[in-house]
Amino acid sequence: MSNTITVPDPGSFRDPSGVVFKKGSKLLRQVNHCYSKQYESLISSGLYDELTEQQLMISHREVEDLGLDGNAFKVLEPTCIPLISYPYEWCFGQLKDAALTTLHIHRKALKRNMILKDASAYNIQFMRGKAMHIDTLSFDFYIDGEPWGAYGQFCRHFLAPLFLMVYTDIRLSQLLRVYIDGLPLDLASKLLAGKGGFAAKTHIHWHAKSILQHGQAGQSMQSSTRKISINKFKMTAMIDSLIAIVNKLKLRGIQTEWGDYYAHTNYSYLAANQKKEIVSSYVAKLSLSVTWDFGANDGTYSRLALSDNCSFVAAFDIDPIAVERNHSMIRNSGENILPLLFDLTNPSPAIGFANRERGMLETRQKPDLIIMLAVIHHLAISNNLPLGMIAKWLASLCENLIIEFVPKSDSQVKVLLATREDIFPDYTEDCFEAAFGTWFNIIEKQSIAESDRIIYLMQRK
Amino acid sequence: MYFDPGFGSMIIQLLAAGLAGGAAMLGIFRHKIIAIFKKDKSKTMGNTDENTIDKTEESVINE
Repeated sequence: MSNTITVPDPGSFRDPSGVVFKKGSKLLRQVNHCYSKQYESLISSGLYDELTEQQLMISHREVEDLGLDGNAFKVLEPTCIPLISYPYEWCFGQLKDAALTTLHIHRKALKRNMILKDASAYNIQFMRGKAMHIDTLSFDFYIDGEPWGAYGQFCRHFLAPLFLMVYTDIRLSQLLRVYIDGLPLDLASKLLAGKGGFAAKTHIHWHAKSILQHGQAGQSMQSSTRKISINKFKMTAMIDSLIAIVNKLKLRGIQTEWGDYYAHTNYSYLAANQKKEIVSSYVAKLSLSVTWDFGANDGTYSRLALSDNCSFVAAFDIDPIAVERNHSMIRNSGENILPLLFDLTNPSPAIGFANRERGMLETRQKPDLIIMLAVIHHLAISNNLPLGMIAKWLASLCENLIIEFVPKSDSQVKVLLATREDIFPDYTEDCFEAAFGTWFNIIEKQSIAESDRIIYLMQRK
Repeated sequence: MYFDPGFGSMIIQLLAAGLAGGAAMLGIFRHKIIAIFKKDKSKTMGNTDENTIDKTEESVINE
């Protein structure tokens, strides 16, 4: 135990109540002495039990540990989240569920004279389709008459991006990558351009104006001549109203490039079924617990990887509607799949202070298998990526690979080359096998009936 | 609180909470009026309505 390396989490430093740290492979949360009363109240009031039973918050167990710096009141071992994800990787439905979880928790806390002292989207993670709060130290005592201090943060992290996705453009959640503490409300107000109804007027437009007028930082509530006081009844009514506002936000019918993909693909019924059989047979040969599906669309093939062997699949796609559909299915089924918005040619960078607060995907999880079906032509042709570079990148990520080669004779590739010069003499089956053969052993290859596509099973050398 | 809640945000919250509270009070008021009419009706009809919900501020908070 004394040889185990203990490292503080680089994203856990703002709240003096405690700190998250890693001890060997375990993730632990230290509760500092200054937070002891709040922590005891969270447990004794029954709030912890209520939130964990209703799957609004993850559970933890108290462990015997000295903690990070000798300042520990208690050390907690929270339930392990298979893959940490960030709000700029979520589809609309995931961000909406995260917002509702936050509001419901605050509402339930109020009943027991406690509050959520922050409302950051980074406090929510997804487990089997459910948005769950992960920060046990987010609770504080309710002081009669005191306004909700996290209201501004809630508007920046949740309301602003949700309104923008519905009323302006679904892609605007990507702004959360740039603004790590949520979207500035004046920017959201400009982009909304008056849309969003009375709710947006209050919580975004007037809110932005008020911040401009009164300043965001450096003005305490006590400094005003009239102290702001909001009684519990009004606070509860406001939370109920925010819940209703978020519930009402829905994506209107949007056509995206890949949203209806499986309805209009290149495969005949026979070919689609055979593809599923091939992928299943390859998966059965492997012993794995974590799979990444790149270009997963609505998760049709991700589901094939879930088995007695493989307990978790991350399903990545560039299309927000495809991820939305996958998320809707998983919400109902509770499958251990995490659908995420992801551009393979420009993936989530490491952001925050020293570019270490929120990490790249590779630092968060190591997969046993990557599935990449009907993607290679988008990387190699649309993005001009040499096959060798793609192979090297995949080999750096994972030992096992199931990959589909889509040749130039395929109609989808013909479409890609229809309006541009064909500068890809090396985009052939032989060159593909040679490029990947540098990094992988080709274990098996099978052609798909009624198409020229080939699916390979490969293992890193 | 470990970060600045922002005075501008608190002002708007005062407005939003005031409006929401007012709407909620109207809802309670409406329930009370309906309850009064239901009680009168059941008195004249000779039976008691056990399903009359008596909404108060307290009950709304604890919903």
